[in-house]
Amino acid sequence: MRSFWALFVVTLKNTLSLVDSGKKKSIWTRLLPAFLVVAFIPTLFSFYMMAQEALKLLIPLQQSGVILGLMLTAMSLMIFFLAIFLIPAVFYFSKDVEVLLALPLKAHTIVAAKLAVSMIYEYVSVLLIGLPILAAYVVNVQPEPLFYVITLVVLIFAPLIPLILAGLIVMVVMALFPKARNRDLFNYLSGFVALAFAIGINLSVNSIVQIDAQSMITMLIQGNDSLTGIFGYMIPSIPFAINAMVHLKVLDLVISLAIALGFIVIFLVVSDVVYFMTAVGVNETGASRKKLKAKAYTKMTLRSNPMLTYTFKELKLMIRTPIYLLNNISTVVLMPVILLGSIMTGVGSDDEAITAIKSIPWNDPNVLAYVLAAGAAIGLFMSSLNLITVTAISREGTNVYFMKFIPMSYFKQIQAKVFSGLIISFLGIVFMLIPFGIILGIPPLSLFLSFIAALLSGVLINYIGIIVDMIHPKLVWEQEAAAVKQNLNAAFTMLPAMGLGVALFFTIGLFPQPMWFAFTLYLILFVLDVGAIYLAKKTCKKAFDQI
Amino acid sequence: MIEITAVSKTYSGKVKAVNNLTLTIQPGEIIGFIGPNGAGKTTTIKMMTGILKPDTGVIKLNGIDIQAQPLEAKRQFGYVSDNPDLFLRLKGIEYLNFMADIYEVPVSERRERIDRYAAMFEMTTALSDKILSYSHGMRQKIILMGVLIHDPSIWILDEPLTGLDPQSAYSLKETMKLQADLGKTVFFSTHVLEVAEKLCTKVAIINKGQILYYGTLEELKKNHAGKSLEDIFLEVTSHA
Ligand SMILES: Nc1ncnc2c1ncn2[C@@H]1O[C@H](COP(=O)(O)OP(=O)(O)OP(=O)(O)O)[C@@H](O)[C@H]1O
Ligand SMILES: [Mg+2]
Repeated sequence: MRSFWALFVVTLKNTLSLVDSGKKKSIWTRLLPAFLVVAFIPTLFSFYMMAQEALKLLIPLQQSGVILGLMLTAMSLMIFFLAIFLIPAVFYFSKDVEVLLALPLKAHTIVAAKLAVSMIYEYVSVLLIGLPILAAYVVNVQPEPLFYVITLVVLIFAPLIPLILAGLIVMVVMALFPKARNRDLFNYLSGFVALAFAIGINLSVNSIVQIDAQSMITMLIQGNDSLTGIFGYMIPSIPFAINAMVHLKVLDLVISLAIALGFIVIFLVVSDVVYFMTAVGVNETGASRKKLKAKAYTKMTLRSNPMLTYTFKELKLMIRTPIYLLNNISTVVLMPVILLGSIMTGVGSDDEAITAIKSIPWNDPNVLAYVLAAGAAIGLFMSSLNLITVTAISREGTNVYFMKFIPMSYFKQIQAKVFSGLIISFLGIVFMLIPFGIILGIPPLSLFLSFIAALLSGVLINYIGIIVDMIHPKLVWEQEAAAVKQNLNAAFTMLPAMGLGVALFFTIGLFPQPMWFAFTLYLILFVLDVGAIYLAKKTCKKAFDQI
Repeated sequence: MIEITAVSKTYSGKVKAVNNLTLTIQPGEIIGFIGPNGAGKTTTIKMMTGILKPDTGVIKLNGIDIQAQPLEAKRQFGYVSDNPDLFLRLKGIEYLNFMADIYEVPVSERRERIDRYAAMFEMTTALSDKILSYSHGMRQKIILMGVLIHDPSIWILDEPLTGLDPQSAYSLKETMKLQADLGKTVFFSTHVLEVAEKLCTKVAIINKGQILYYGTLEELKKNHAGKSLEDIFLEVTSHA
């Protein structure tokens, strides 16, 4: 027990310090929690309103417990889903695992400490779902004081069983499929599932908002049956917890706790058998150690131009590093899907909106000016969002010395890095413009002209990005994520780029003729591009002498 | 040929890492660069390769000033840094081909060299895997091969032997000798005095940023008759 506490405290400190690494806290890291809270307020509020509506209908039916059941079920679902990622990360792929394995500790001690730490993480979900719904419940039902005590206990133990279920699944997978013990693979998979989840939520939120109260209530009661049905089997403590909360029965609470205890015992017993066996074999990446086939060998030793090779090296490293793939490249897919998705669900079957879009006179010069401005804005947006060039030097980290001893000029290397960013910007622009063009019925010529504007602004952002990163790279980092996520350069280029994109639309009106706007836009972007390229060339020698 | 003339480097205005260092290395020589931790070896090497800019002094590689004509000078040498963790997510073969492209090595030569050195360092089956999956020594070997593939006329190696298994260390030392016999210049830092004794034509002993001795080991031994190499080294560096 003593070693459990020691381990728990150390692990917790370790994970918390990873979250706010670095001694000097910048304003950004201080403001981030505040931002997050603000960002969640609308969600919390909408949960509250939903619960409020539901309770108005449920209380006369004497079914107010349904809402608590739904809350616990939703909580468990969310905890379970997050745990599928959290457990591998905490139990297998965190940096301290190697150290812990070398210490004279029993598997169940390590697992218990890590389980406790994972619980702390999961309380975010508990609060996010629990607070608004409980607030609505308290306001409408006005329960007795005992309710608060019971609820507190229920909430404290709420993450336990879903976490253990996820933990058992993960351990079994690790035991059965040794290939899964691979950090890279895990990062890819979890990243993409999270992406899909983000897109899914984004698309479904739009449709949920439009459901009316009556159909919501039928859905609630039906959903409650089916959901608690399934989860009643998987998490047998939930029915008892609901009973304890609604009817204030302490015995039911005790039973639900006993069930949780049973799960803990099972988990620890299993982990004593499985955990060491699976944790010892964790790899950074897969390897086959097979001699290359003659054909592959010939293909992989072809000669190409240094510039091209360098650009491809950049792209390869980016695509193969899960963190970079998700942060730098996924936006190419994510942004168009989210934007298109919300337009589709927003417009949906709204006939007025469809006829309004259909009647836009695309060939009108005034409209064309807006299409061009939109193109330029999309170029600015997609290029600054992918963060590729603005982190291109930072991502080198300690490897940056390589750039300095090879016989390739800094400017050429910089350009190769810009090209790698431009390729992704280009894809992003195409993925944005073409679907929008088709849905809105924009004529090809207008689309092409706006594509040119987008490319010109893409070039601008990419060169500005590299200049900023060259002058002020963040080269000292422990984990790849820090090179992109905790890099202020990114914010410094992203915000002005987006501001500029928005400002463009307001300048259209300043021109007496829309054609003048188009011409000026092209000209200014072109001049700025040339200026940025020149500046990059001028800066690079000086900047690299400093690095 | 390497000519280092009156080179100094001070880090962040305080630590004088290299102090007025002068050293000339002729083609065909293998020079062991020896000194205690923090003596200034890596700093000197980084200035030779253009990674650091000297505060004062000039460094010429085959007569080309690394500061004045960096690109031409950088084509003269191959460099192995003391940290082999480079481009970990490239496959071994991709890294070698990348280096061959950067140094513009013709296809037939790059293939011949990859085959030869992969066999020599027992890396043939590892080439298709990512460097991330390599052990420390294997990472060193792939970086070494990245130098060998462009067959430079000057070799600059920072502790190349640390971490290599006896077989690979032997292969590397033999390759060094072979290249020196062909008239190449080999300059490497090391902490292993026996290696320096067996391999080097001359040694340069450095401490606190200054060269304390530059010449053959025989001569050094003659000056300190009857003492072991280890004792001589300790004595020389403690007098600095
Ligand atoms: N980036 C740096 N910033 C400040 N001081 C440094 C830096 N790098 C090295 N130094 C200092 O310069 C001096 C020389 O260091 P250098 O790395 O050249 O030694 P070395 O001979 O290679 O040592 P070792 O045998 O340990 O590799 C040391 O005092 C070191 O502390
Ligand atoms: Mg060193």
